[in-house]
Amino acid sequence: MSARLRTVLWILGFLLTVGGAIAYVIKPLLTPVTSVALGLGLLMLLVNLYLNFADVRRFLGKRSTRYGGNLAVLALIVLAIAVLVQGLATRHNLRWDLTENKRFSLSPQTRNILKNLKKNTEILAFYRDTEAGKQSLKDLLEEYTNSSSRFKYRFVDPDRSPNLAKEYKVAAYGTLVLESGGKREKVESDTEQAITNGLLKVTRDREKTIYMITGHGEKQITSQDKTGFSAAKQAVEEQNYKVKELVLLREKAVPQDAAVVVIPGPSRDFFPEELSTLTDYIDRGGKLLVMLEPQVETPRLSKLLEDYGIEVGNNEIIDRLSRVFGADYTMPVVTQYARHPITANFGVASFFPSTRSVTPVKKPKTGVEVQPLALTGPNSWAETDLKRLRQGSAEFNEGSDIAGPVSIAAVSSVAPKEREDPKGLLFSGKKGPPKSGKARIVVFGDSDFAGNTALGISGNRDLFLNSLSWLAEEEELIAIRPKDQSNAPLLLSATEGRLAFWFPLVILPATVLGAGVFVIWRRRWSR
Amino acid sequence: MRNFLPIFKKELASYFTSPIAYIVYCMFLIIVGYLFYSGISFFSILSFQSLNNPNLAQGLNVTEGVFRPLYLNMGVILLLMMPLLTMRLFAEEKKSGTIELLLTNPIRDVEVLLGKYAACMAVYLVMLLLTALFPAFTTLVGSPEAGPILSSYLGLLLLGASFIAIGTLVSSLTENQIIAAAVTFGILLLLWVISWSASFAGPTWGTLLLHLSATEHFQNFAKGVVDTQDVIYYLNLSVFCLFLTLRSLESKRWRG
Repeated sequence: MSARLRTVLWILGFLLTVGGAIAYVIKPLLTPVTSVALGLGLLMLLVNLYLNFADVRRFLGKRSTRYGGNLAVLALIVLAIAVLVQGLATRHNLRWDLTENKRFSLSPQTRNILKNLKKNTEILAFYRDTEAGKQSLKDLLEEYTNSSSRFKYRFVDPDRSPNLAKEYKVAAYGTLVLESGGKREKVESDTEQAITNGLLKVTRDREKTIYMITGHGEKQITSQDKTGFSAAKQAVEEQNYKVKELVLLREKAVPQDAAVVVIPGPSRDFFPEELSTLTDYIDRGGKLLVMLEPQVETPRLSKLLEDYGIEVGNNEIIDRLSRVFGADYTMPVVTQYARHPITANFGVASFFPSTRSVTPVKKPKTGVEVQPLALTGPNSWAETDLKRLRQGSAEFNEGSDIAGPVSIAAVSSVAPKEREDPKGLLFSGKKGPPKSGKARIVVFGDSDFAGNTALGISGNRDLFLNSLSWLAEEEELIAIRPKDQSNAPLLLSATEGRLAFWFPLVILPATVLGAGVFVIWRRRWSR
Repeated sequence: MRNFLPIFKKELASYFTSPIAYIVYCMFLIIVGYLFYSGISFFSILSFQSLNNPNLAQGLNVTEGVFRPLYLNMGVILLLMMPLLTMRLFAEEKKSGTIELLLTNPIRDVEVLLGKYAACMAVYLVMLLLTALFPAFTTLVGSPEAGPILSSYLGLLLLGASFIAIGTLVSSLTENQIIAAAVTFGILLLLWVISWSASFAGPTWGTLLLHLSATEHFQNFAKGVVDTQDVIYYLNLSVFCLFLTLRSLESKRWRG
């Protein structure tokens, strides 16, 4: 075969093989054309190799080929070692945070939780590329992934991946969603405390149960009515709690697995037996959320709450201002919250469709700490003349009515003291010393704010859920003190500002250039 | 290693007796100086505004606000400047034929390589030291944190060491300085931007690309965190490139 034909065969075979390979890479399907091209090309190359076997052998036998081959093998070995070393270094790394306030280090609590992380967890951060705080969140999440190989993070731009945002029910930029083992947990804040607590919740095996009491005309969790609690139930379940109903009369005691017991707007009073069951529960360190209604008389329940430091007023709040928002006089707006974990970082208004006042008693019993939670505006008052109010008129009467701001929600925590027993019959009863852990009670003067209609309005949903999670999460939730802000602002005076321009941009480069000119000239001169 | 010092000295002298080093320094300082000036001026305005707005003052930190971006940008500028420092290392000697002298003399290849490499590192070190005047200036008017700045310089030193190693390798493969510079620049730029595709490359490839990227490993240094895996990445890259350079020098003997 002539040399020219061989060359053509070489080139054709090469082109066909490479072309076929490229086509396969672009469209990973063995179409007839691709396979024929590949096969034919390889065949030509092989035939050529066979025909030129003597040449090939001579080439392989050459010293430079042998050395080149050796070199290639050696280089591959060294590369493999480098990759191995890098892999080991990635897995067993040491880290030092040189910043003054250790802002790139996680708290010991978080590190401990990450070390014991058993399930793979991913956090999706729904941030736009330009979102403020994205960098610092990335820094923070980077530290999380560094402490546990089971933790991964991913930034998602909700504008670019609207389907993903929809799937995760993300409505606002800056939302984080933790996902682990099929469970999801939304985190609305980008602090270490929020993320770590979310992590705790989403990886928790045991689900916490929240009991809703029924039997006194309470709001039903199955009801889809305007004031029903089906939306509230759904919201609570999204927070990874179970929701069950509880008929107190049927039970001797509140079930052991109750994380919180909720009384959602009773319209009849409780029986004494039921109240003693509740008292037992509270004395064992129980958690109770009570949501009342105005113009509903429940004296026995009110008496129980008063024992724990919370006074329920027999009145209804009138708020002139709420009219601005296009609502009834009896729908006060709350924009003022007391300092409390429930309302920490809480800046939005909440709306209460008809509520009564809920205030701390003047002198709570020992071991009872009580404080107001939410206050109505200064233009509101608590109307005590309910008869006139029902006829449709109300006005503020100094003396009988309470002037605003009026507290419409209060929080009380009860130390696990032995029950007061002046006759010395301590523990003569059934239970023995109470379990440790403070009992917690949150009382709202209204229940409709968490009903189907109002739950979605403004901050209502958050207020309701925050109250529940404060009640339910006490032991597990951890508090991480935020890092001391290392504020180091810098103010340049006019002179310093000019210096900041002249020194780096003119003086320094000119000096370097001058030195160069000097050195080179002197060399020329000396020659 | 007897011959290391003479080669080092000769190489260093050739940098400083030609205009190259001074011009590269000068341009580098002007660019970094400009970034420093605009960074610190903007930060000063922010600080001034924060006097009236306490919310803005939260987390306003001169180290984070001025030096972290400055050093990140300096990495990018190095990428442009470094090929100019390394392009001539071997390419020039090959062109002028003096490489034969070096390689046939009873000097070991390692000594030649390390001498030249160390000289280039020394030139680079001076360049870094000159930029240290910016944080020094800032301590006069404010209070930047020492830790992150020191870690940034450690990072820049390692980053530069690996960049120079890559440049040395490329320079040993060609006798044309322009080709050496262009190829080095291309490789460095690729190493820098390779992490950009990590977000859509899928989890496995994405992680791999992030590990390969010279940017990602520098991020930690710039924010004030020293991680052994980043240190080892740069050392690994440098040693590997120097090893290949050595082989490339050696191959001159048998390639004929």
